[in-house]
Amino acid sequence: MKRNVVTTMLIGGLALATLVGPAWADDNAVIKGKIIFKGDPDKHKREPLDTTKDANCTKKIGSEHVIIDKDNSPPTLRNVMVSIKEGLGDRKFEAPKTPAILDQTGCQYSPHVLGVVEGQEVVIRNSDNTNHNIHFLPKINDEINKTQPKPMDDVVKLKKEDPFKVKCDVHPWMGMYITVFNHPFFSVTGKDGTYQIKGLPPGKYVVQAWHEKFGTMTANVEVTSGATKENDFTFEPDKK
Amino acid sequence: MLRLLRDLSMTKAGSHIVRRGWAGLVVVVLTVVCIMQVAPAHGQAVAPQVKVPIDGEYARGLGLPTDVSKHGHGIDWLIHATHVFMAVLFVGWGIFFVYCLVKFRQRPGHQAQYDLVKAKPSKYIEVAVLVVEIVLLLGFSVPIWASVKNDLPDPDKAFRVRVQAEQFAWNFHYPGADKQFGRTDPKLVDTAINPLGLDREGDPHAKDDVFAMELRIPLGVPVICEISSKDVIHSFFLPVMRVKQDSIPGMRIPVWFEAVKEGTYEVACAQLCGNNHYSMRAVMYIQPTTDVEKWLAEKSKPPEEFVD
Amino acid sequence: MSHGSNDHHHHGPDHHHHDHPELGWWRKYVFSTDHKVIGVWYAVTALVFLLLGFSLVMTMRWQLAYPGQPLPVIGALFSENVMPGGVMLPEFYNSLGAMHGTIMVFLGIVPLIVGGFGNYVMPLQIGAPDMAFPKINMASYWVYFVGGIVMLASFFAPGGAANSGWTSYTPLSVTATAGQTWWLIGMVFLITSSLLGSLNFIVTIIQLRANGLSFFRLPFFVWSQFVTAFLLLLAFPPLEAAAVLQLMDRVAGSSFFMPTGLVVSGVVQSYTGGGSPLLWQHLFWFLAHPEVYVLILPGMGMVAEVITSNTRKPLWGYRVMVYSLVFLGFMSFIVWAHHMFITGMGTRISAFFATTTMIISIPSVVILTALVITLYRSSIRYTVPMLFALAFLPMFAIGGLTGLPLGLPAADIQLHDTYYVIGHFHYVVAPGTIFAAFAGIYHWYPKVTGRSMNAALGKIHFWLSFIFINAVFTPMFFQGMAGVSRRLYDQTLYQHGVEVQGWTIMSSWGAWMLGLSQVPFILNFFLSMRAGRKVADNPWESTTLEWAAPSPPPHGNFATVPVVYRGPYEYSVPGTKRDFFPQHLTKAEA
Repeated sequence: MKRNVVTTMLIGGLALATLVGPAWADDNAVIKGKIIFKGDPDKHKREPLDTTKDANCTKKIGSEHVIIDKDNSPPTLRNVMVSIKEGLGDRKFEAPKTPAILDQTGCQYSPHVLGVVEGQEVVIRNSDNTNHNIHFLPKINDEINKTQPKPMDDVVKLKKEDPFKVKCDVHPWMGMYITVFNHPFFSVTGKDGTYQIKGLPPGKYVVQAWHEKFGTMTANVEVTSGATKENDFTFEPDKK
Repeated sequence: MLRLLRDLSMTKAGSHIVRRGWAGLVVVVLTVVCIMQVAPAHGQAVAPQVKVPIDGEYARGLGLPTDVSKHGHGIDWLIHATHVFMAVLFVGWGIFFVYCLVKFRQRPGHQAQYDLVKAKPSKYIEVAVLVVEIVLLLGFSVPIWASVKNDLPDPDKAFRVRVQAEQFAWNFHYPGADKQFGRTDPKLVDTAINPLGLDREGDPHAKDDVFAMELRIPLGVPVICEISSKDVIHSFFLPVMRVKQDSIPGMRIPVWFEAVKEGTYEVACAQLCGNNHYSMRAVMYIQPTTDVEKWLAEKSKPPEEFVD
Repeated sequence: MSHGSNDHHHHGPDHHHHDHPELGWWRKYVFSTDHKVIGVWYAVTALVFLLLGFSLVMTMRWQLAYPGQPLPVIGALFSENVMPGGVMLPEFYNSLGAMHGTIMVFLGIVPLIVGGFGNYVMPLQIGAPDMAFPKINMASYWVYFVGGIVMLASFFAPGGAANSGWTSYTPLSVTATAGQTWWLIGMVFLITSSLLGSLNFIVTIIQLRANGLSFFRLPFFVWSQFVTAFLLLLAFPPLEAAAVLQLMDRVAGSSFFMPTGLVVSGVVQSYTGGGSPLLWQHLFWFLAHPEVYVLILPGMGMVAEVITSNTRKPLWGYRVMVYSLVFLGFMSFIVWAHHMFITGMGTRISAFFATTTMIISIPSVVILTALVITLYRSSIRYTVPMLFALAFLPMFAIGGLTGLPLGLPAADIQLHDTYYVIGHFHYVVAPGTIFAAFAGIYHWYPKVTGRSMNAALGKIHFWLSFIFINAVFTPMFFQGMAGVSRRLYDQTLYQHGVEVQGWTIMSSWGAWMLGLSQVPFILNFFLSMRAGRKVADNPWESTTLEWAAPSPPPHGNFATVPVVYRGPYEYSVPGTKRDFFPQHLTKAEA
């Protein structure tokens, strides 16, 4: 008698487990890769920015529209936002508790491309000994135009939106892009031109790479639980 | 309380106290105010900007800043002469005023005079005032203004700069070796690398144009600045040049001046243009012509050294 | 049945009772059509707005004197949105500045000296029982009140209140935050209120003068209100139209004031373009210049009343003063572009406006000089209203004189939009008109309340205010000469600003002490209502008609409608028993 009860419970439990199984399965797939630049890097030279307007902006900085790391082989593209465009279904993701930080330092934004999750706190920090003006130019979110006359922090929370420009009206050369996602699966390429999206649930995804000048590219990538898939993007902007 | 005050103030002792009372208050208050005046300015700038060494005495506390322009002395003379005229009027009038206050205060045995007081002197003074004003206006202000507005130097011999104001910076557009300004287009504006919207690809004249955020002008050469704006009304103000011209979007307005002394001075914005109107500062360098040309040449071929 | 429609020949003793039933509390004290109740409502509302406008600038002056330092104690009262950690943000500073100007000019001074004093005193001085259109009078107050609420509410709009200066220059104001829309709507209400009021004043003065009160027997105060009403009537409509045009640019995508090709913050704007930013300036200053004469003329009127009462002699050159007043009113319409010399004006136009500006200084000088000559061979009583009225004279003189370098275009190149301008116009309005208003308050308070204000407190109020108001505004001339621009959140970012920061501190301390100096006045104002010494109808022994009515006058004003036999300032007439000969008394009654 007792054994029958135990067996039933075991079978019932297993059946239940298969139903709710996917939710408890491991979210640990990884998609990573490189963003390769193909073409003539000299056609996209960076220019020095004139910061003489503000005597406190002593850092010599260059334009950040296109940064090609030529020393890598092959040359890679910096500041490309790689993210999951489709494939997550209706699943909801909680915003991370740690805030994202947009820093103004040396009269430059750091980072140049920032991804945040909807509802996550975004701290806009003035680390310079001069006044900055935060000017968000979004289409969906509210426009923000606020001065930070001295070192201070401002905190905002944003809604999902494609990349929009952020600039400083006091230092016109400053500019960066923010993308707001409703999930945490995105990564921005750095000096080495690589990206890595971790903690993915298994599934079929459309991965998108976005560059502020060269536009977007997509790729279909399928991952199983715990797997790591490599996927490179190649931007060839000068090809006719 | 009020009644007590009133009754007290009406007694002899009371009125003495009241008089001395508020007189004492006045003295204390005056002292405090004087101390505040000489106390060091311990408010420091929120974001101290003044790092570029600015030459020369700027303001002398009471009057105009130093003058390094050719036409400035006329304006300065007019301002000073007008103030002398104002002082003469005020002091003269004031003496008569105080005289009346003292001589004709109400006291026993003194009666006001009903009959019309003859005031011939006042008629003469009125006429004199009018004459002085006319002289200041027609004899000095109008000619100076006409010279500032109409006597633009020959563009071929002058140093030309286009000043494009924006919220909140000054953009200076130098025409380069070909002395022609290249075409600009709002659609080509890139706030980082092309704030002027220069059509470098399409217009050959634009290839040698120089963009900078500082104003460099040659010493002893007439300068023509063409003032405009990208967004709202600003005002191009060079305190030491006695130059001020509103930058109005949709208009391009020329001003001219000539520097007679080398130095480093400031460009200020003199029209409320938004939140950061106060930080819309640029630096003006007055240098010998050769130094300016060298600087322009360097700017045209930018070296690639910056923080990665 | 209204008295206002009666031809003035038909006044009779049986026409002084209004045949309507006893009014309820709301109709009697709140929605009253009695010009005296309306006048008091206007005056009290305006005084509250003046205090508020002054508080705004006292807050600003902390940031000016000590940039970047947290405002002690009071700083915590403001939200973190506008004063994080007690340090004012530039956006908020600009809002405070724009609203200070708007509140002081449109919600404070004009409602006080025109709506308050004009409404209360003028009908009494012409011997009328009320204004010609009592209901319109009431309407004009409540429209003003709504406009005031809209302006105050704009502080809570997203982005805060209007921040483009009280001058609202385009395109800045068109691209500004939501508060500017509220400002425009508020202005439409305020302008409408002024138009209703000015119509009423003109008709009342023309139609309702007592028997025998010809135009040249009118007190100078009535003349000043008369000319002021014409200025308001003719100058405000272009601004109302312009405000609607700007509103359309902001909300309906029109381009009356927006030129083509605007790039704001790197973003090409989608306005149709083709508009002119200068058009706004012309339309605005076409009103705003006569507006500044609206600010000063009633003040001159009040000063004339107080001076004649307290010098015991007639106004010197009364006729010349009246002609000057009318000429001034006319000229004020053709000087407006002296505010725009630096916009790129050519020689001919600037010479024209500079000439008219020089010419307009003449009638002002005439009026001021006549007031001073009135002191000659007079007998001066140093009452509290007289102290304020006397101080008005040199203060207005400084204000007027410092307009001279600004009115000369070549000198204006250096001084335009600097602190010199702020010093100039504040001298005319602050120690000018506001002192005249204080004189008026101390002078007519006994008429309104039946009690006099305490003289000791009044003298304290006067001396403290006089000293500190000069401490605030004199340094501004030096700062302006040094090249410090207006409307700067922090002038120390400029070398020429750093060098004269000491003056800023002096102005700020002067302003705070000036604020404290108003405490004796506020106490006096309210305490005297209960505990002030009771007075008879004519405590100053004046000759004008308002003193013939009881203190305070009842509904309908006069027990018997006065008849006027002589001019308004018959003091110290040889052969009379007393040293004043009221207008309404026959020779036998004197």
